[in-house]
Amino acid sequence: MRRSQDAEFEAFVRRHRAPLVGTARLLTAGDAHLAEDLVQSTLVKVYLAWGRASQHPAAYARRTLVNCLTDHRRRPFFRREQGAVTLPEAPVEDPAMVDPELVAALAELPPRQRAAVVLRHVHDLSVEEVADALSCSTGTVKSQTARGLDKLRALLTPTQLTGDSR
Amino acid sequence: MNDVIDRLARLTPSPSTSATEDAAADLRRGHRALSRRRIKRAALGGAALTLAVGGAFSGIALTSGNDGAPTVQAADNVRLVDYDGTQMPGFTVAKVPEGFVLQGSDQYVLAVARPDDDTTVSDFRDKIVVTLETTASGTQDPANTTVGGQPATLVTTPDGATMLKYAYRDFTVVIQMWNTIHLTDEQLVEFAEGVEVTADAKPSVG
Repeated sequence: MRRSQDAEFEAFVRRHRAPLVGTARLLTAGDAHLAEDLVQSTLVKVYLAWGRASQHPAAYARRTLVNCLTDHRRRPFFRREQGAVTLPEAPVEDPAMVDPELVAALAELPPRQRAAVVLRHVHDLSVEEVADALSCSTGTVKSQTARGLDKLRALLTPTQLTGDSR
Repeated sequence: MNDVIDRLARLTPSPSTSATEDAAADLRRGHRALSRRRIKRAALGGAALTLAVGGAFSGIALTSGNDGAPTVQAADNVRLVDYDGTQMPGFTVAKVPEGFVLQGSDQYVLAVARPDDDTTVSDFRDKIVVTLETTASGTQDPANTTVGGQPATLVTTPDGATMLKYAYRDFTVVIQMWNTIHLTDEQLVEFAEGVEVTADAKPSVG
């Protein structure tokens, strides 16, 4: 029994690990090391819960990943060491990130809003799937996504210089 | 207007990884975690059994009336009670639904849940959660009730959850009650009137 579960889990990891790491990198705003840690923690939890996760393992893993990120942000060491508001330069160093400016703007969003935007518009999940991943209502997903996009547009729009045309 | 959406769609990263090696390593980590869990459960098993047996006898004593018939509380008959437990950073409450506890909080959210709820604070299902929004991102719905004498908006989301929004200092407080909790609108307002936002709280939208 356990052996067949192991085989199923291993097949799932082979197929979904890379996309999961990609999601984690965006959720962490380009922090590749944290993303890898979160994915490892997520997959351990998925393995431990394989009995119920195996019905929809990808959705279960996404939800667990978001929860792992939230848990990580609550840890005391994270709060102590997040005094700086400047973004680490990891996004620029990460070759997988094709748009470092956008990733930097994503980092300015609150974590759950960022997760809503990433899952909805990067991974093209439906509103219902995002609501499931974030464990919230579809209305919350819509409002968080809309506000996240508004904020991204504001951050990415070059400041217009105004002044006398002379 | 879709420029940002197009750029987001192009972000889909595909990190190069060795899938087979990673899968084997993840499986090993899973095995180790499973072993640790089994050891922990075995160690706790004796104590849990003792508590369960004791609890069963206590439960019988507490839920039996004079006629020996068990007393069952109706699921719809939730009432608010004064909260005198430990408060959490970010938000304080004066009342909670009977049988509920403060599950936890951080600077973005306070979760009120049943004691046996082992989900994370960010899981809003079967809970009442309190969050802050910046006033600029506030509600577009007209006010239809009041909280502490101030106009407030009470709406039902498409999922059946109830959402109460009202201005609080420079922010908007958003209280969401999942559809499995059956407080009346008046009770939810009463709950809201007992909520205080402390300096630790930050808006989750803004």
